Amino acid sequence: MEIFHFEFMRRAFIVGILLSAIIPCIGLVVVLKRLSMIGDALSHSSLAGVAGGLLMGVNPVLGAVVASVGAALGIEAVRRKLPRHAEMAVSVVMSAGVGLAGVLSGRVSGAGFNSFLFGSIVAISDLEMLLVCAVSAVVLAVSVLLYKELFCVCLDERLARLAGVPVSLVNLLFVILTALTVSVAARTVGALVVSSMMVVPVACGMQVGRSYRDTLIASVLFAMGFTVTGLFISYYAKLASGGTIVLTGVAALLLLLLGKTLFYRKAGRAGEAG
Amino acid sequence: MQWIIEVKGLRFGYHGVPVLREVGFSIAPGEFVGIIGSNGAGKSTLLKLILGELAPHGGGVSLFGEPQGTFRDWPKIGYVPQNSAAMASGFPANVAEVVSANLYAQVGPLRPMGKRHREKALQALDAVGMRPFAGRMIGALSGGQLQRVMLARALVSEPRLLLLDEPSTGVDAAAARDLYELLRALSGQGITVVMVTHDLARSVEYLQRALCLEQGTVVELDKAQMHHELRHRHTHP
Repeated sequence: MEIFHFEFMRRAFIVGILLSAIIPCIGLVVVLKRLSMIGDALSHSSLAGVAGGLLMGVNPVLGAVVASVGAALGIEAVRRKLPRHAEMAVSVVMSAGVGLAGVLSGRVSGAGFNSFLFGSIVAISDLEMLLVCAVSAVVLAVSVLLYKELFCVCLDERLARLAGVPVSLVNLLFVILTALTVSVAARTVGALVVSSMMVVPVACGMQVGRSYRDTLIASVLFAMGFTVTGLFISYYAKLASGGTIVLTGVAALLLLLLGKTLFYRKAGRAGEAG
Repeated sequence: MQWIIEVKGLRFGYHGVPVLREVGFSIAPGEFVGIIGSNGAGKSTLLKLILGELAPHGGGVSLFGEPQGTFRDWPKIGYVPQNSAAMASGFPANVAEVVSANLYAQVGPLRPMGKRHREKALQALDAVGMRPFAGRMIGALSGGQLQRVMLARALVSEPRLLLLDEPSTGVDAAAARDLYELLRALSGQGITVVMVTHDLARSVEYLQRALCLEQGTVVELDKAQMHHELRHRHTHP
């Protein structure tokens, strides 16, 4: 296939598939803990790191990682102090991230910074590729090792604590993983759409999953499907890759919801007739 | 005799307003005890103090003879929270997953659940008559079924003390009776059952005694006194 003749496209597929394996692992927990805004908060904070990196001549992805992890630790600190106001912590960090990104971006050249807003999966450098591989390996390993801990914490933190789960430690590890994932994903799918990549495949997975495990696997498969389909569409239709991947996911979610509604309506009619 | 729960001179309040003043009682192994009282009497607060989620302002709680502050043997305690329906609603997990999650201490950190643990979860579901529902999504259960699943979840770690917070909330009369029957049978097997409830009318036949919270203090009621309390409620609403 012509698309695979190009090194940048082969690289885009590798990075895309790696990210689509890890983003739903984070996304499922984020959605179940009702912290969907955390993706936005961290990605916006990562933009401040991108701008800072560009200003200081440091690789912007590294800047994004530092800013995003800092923001994640900030959210967790506020969440611990004010456990009933977790969303407030997320909003405060997001506001600070947007503000700082706005101030710093005024001092850097537009093109470099703008590529982080909507991503540029087809322009991945060697260092960025290495970062994505390393972060993916870490996130996958920790997600597998902490599988039952994360499940317990998602279900109910109070019950998890009584069952002996070190809830605070698990939460801390999780926000750091989220920050790492968001910051490397911001470069590829874009800071403005990374939280959609966290939520949309999970929303699809939840439509078909019959258990937590099934839902997680389905979410990863959906994310991979959206990424591959989105990359093909964006290449042949000459569209921005990050946005196309997300729109593919949203279209699939709408189709799933429609299909489910029609299925239950039909099943209901069959039940009445029977 | 070693008390399962021993509370002495317990004091607690919110923002300077006292809720519990010098509360004291003891619960023996195998007892089935209700904690009753009007709304705001401090029933759930007392439960949180027993579970260590709140720190007392005075006095203390001992669990299995050990001061609550240093108690670490939490798998000995099974807890069924109030309003499990809110937790279950829309959560993508099946019944077996929810029950086996409480085996965390037995499985150990960073280890996957084994076949033995899954079998144990099924046995706990068997004990509450919910084994056929093991593969069902928790959000698809009725209130009564969900309470049984949460009870199986508490039982799977083989606790010696069961704490339940308003287990009959959102459960119809028949399901509540079945639940109380089951709790009585568990107490007959030597498990201490302590239940916060506003449903004295339906549970009175099953409870051995009740601890009634009134104006920050506790009044112990035996069977006859519980019936008297019920009659009093009917004549003095």
